[in-house]
Amino acid sequence: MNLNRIRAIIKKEFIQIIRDYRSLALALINPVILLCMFGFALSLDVNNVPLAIWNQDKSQISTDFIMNFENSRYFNVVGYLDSYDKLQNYIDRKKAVMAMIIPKDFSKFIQSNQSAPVQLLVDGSDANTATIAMGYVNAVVAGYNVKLIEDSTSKLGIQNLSPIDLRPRVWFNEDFKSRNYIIPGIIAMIIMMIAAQLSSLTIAREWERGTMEQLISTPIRRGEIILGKFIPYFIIGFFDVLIAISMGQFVFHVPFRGNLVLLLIVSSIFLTGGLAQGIYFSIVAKNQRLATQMAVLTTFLPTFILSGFVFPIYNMPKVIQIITYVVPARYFITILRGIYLKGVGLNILWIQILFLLLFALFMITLAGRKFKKKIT
Amino acid sequence: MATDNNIAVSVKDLEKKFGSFIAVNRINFDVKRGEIFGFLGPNGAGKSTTIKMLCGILTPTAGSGYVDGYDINREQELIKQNIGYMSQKFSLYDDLTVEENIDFYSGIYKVPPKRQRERKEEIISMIGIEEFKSMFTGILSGGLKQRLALGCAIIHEPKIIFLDEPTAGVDPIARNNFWKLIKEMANKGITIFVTTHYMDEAENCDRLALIYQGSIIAMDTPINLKTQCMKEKVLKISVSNAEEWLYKLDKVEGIKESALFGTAIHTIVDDAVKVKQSIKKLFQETDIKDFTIESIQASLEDVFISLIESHEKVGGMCELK
Repeated sequence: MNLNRIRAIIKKEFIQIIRDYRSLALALINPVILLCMFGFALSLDVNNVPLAIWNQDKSQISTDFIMNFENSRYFNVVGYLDSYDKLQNYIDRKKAVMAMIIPKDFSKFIQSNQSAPVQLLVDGSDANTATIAMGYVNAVVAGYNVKLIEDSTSKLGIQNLSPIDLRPRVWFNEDFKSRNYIIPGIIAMIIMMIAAQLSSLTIAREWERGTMEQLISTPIRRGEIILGKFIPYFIIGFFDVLIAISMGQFVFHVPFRGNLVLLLIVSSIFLTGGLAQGIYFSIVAKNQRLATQMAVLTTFLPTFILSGFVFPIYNMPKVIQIITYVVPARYFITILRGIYLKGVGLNILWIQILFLLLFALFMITLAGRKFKKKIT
Repeated sequence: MATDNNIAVSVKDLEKKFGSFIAVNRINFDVKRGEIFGFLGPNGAGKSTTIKMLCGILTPTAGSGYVDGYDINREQELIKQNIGYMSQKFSLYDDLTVEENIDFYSGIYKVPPKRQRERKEEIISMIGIEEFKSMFTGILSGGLKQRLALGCAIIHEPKIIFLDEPTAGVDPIARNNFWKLIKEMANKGITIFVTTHYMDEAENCDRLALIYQGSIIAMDTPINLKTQCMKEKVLKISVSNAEEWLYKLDKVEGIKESALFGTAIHTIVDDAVKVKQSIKKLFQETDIKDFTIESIQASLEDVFISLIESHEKVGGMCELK
């Protein structure tokens, strides 16, 4: 390794990156756009479920029952209707996700100590939202049931109707805000996008333009070319990490409970692996378009889908779960959430960090081996 | 041979196959130090493949070779330290300025930092590119690009330079200037190995190898090739309507090959006297009076065409002593 040569490559790469200002702008604006899209738009929280109600009973009790939905932040009562056709119309037009029908004998049943049937129509096309929303309805109904039973039994002098008193306390993400675990995950997405996609162009471009033929006829060493190309992209990638962390802090107010230095070090390791992977594809493909496609397919998609970023790994079929073990972002996202939300450190996360280190070393070795100063 | 100090490049039975296609077919040659050695042949003859093997960026499938005493099969990286290579396709960075390209290769070839500035000035003035030095390389003319590529290839003052079709697609004046540069370098004792498919350029070489379909079919100085390598004679026929006559002359007995050179026809014949008579007779029969027929020295192109013909018939190489 010769410093002059590495410096020559770094300088050349930087000049080229800066002159190609559109790509540079894209590399720096990308994390902002990603953060805004995922941070503002991607919310897995189910709030304000639109609910339509047909109250055939119109009694004191049924109105009291409905107030429980009106007053909940999980529901938004969008209309009081008076026919099945109208309810169906609301669901068809997505004006309501659920429709509730309270029969006209509702209060009579309750007053005569019988179960009162209430019909709930649910738009199941979005299964996830429907399941969560039904859970909310169940909770409201169960609460109301207890209230009704307590009302009637207290007259008989019976007090303790709930033998088990559950007192939940939520740790780490107290408000169940999905944003709090999505934003740290985006750092993994951003690093992979910048790292693999930008670096996948660098060596392929030189083969495509013919400049590599001149370069390989010089006594430069393979490691010097790879390192000289690695460093500029590492700096850009690191910049993106800083942008993402600052936005998480100042725009999205995600709680940060861990060690910032540890976060930066681990991000650098992950960034190194991603860059090496991009460079590897660049070497293999010798063609910019192919290299980028390979990078997108093997980094962006697995990072998005198989890392536990949004979709919980334990929900996946067993085979897919096994595949997730070779997705480096899986480990990185665990680390990110550990540092951000749980405030844990090396003593807990060392094994994930070790995996990231191994991955980075593996990719660097692979890229170094594959790169030949030869024309094939 | 590797130990002979007067030999810059030595190749023995060098072969390169791409699959079943033989690009270079067991060629042999030596290049002396300080010589301008030309590789002349049509596109696809194997010139670039040979030069790439010599520069250590392509691995031969058989045979051996030494460049500056280093083995082309095992010591490619040592070769790369001691040669300059200019590839056929322009291969500097279009988005860098002239100076930035020079600086880049200065760094790559480890020109000592103290010497870099001085060396850059030398290169810039040698290739005559002062007024363009802060321009982007991409907007330079073909001729300037070639000169810059040469400048970058010699920044580390190599003793042997490989130039692959350095003047392809460059206008005649720029080509002429480029050759002046090459001759200047040769005068300083630098060995130049150059490929070309321009016959007129090839005349500038000290020695020439004619390569055709992967084989060297003749190798000598240009003058020897023109005077001795061809058994046939060349007749130059000047007549109006030369294009028309080109086809009519094909029917004359004894004419092996005719081609237009400017406004005249060159014909390759075995028996100059006999054919001269036949053509004269043909012209007189058709009432043409304004014509001349003279025996001339074969041009390199004549030699090449004739050699290719006989190579395709019998194979082998024109050996001259």
